[in-house]
Amino acid sequence: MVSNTQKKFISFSLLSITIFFLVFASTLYAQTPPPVSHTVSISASVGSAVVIVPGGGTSGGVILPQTAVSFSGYAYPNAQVSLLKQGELKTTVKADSTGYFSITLEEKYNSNILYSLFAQDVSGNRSLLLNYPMVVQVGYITELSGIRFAPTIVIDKSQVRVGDYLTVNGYALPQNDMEVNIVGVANKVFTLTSSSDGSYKIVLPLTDLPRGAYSIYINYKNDTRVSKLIKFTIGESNIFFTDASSSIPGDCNADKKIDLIDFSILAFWYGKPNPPKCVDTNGDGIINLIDFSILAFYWTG
Amino acid sequence: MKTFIKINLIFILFLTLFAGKVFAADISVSVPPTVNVGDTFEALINMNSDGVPINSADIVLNFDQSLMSFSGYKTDNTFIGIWLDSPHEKNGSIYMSGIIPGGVSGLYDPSKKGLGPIPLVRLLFSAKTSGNAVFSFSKTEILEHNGSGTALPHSEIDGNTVIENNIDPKANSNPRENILDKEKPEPFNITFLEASMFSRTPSMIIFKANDAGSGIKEYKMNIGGSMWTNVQSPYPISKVLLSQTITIRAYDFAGNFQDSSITIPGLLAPSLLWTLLALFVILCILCYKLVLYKR
Repeated sequence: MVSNTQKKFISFSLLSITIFFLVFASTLYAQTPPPVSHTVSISASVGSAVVIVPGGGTSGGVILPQTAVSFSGYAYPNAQVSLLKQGELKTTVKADSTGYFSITLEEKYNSNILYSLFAQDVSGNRSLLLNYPMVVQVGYITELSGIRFAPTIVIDKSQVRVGDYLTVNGYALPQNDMEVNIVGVANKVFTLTSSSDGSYKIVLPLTDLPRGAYSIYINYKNDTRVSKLIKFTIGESNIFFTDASSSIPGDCNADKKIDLIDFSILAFWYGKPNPPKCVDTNGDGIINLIDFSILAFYWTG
Repeated sequence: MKTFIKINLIFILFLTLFAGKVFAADISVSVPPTVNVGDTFEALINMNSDGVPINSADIVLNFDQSLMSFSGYKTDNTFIGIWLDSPHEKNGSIYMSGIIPGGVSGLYDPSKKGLGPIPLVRLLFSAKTSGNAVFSFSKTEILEHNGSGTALPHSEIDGNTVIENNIDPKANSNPRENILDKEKPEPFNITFLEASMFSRTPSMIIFKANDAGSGIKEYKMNIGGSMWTNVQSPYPISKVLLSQTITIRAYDFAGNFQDSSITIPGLLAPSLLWTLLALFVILCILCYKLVLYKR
């Protein structure tokens, strides 16, 4: 027989443990970062000697070791891969037929520098920006390898009639398994493999998805790096994307770019009531930091 | 029984107090352990996102106004790319919010293992009086780079520095020399956005200056030689009949400034204006002739 005192003790202890799990355990689980299947690695090696001639000097020069940063990885077959330094375009290279690219940029000073990369497939579709803030040290060649861009994605409709189809296409690495994810009122995943030239095209039946707002994105199988998210709805009729429309949230001038102009438009409406629909990136009727975060996600510069 | 209840209450209190330490991500402020009265020093705000990509930050940092004053900020070697609200002081708190276009997960340093914390901004303070100066966060909103703007759970790590009254003349005779900003902000452009490009948003001018020394404090505007008024980018501006020249002056925290100008064309093209003027003159002459004829 359990006495009343013991019952009270057991109840109180259970209550304490429950409070502990409610308050802390959920956050412990929430903060676990998602696994990334591809690994970007960084290394630095001493640069070879170069001769630098000081300005105005007439003889000799100062011999200093080479300082540079180097990026390599995979984009899409024959893609244009661009490198930006602190938001300014520095150079563009062409990936080979396997999608491999390599870029080296000379540097001069010790600094923390933000390098950004984006890739454009042969159809002109751009990837999201990949940012790499790096510590650059004079006299070293800092190499960042193992970069892999998520596939590009384009859809044909901004609204799909109930029970109809959605065409999705883009470019990826050749002969790679991918997943097309539709999230929204209901979720669905489709799998496919890219062709030998990296292109892919799939017609998705949306027959069992209910009316409502959705987002679609694509990723390599088992890779958490995803493509840009494209929003669409399932409704009464088909509405195709045109040159005058844009699938990018916040792209009010439909120039297919997200840059300082779009940021400024958003900034004008910051805190103001009844913003235009194209400015309100998450459709909640207010412009706040969340809208700017969504804009930053789609930034092209 | 009472003992057991007391132990459990202490246990729950202990867990509550240390809740902040449970998060793997944290935001911190780093300051020198000691500074001297008269020194200008840096407070570096770092974000350790534990490898989770982030792209937005909205921060309020409190400091003791009686011990120090805010002198500006620096953005070199830091990664907030665009300020929504650049660092400014109000009633003993520094307010700032901005975005990192494209997001970042951490700092890549080949000399260290793994990703380092992300330096967000370096704030400058001037030490006024000796004492224990505490820096504490009253608001830190950090959003993930996932297309949805999800808030990243994180803890806050405050900082403090001891301000000493070091009057030794040999010790660092001019400590402000290293950080005092003598350079004016970098040249910048003004862009005019027509209202027709996007719905309901008026025509505006946008501008963004940079200053490596102490950061941009404010902007003032002058239209055709009128008085200077405080403005922010973007600034709504309407076209008028005639063209107008707008000058924007960017001030840094040290009082240096840089001007930039733009001429916005008027609603009337110059050729049309001259034609209308000529027609008006001809009409006046004709009327005069008619009046003379009738007499």
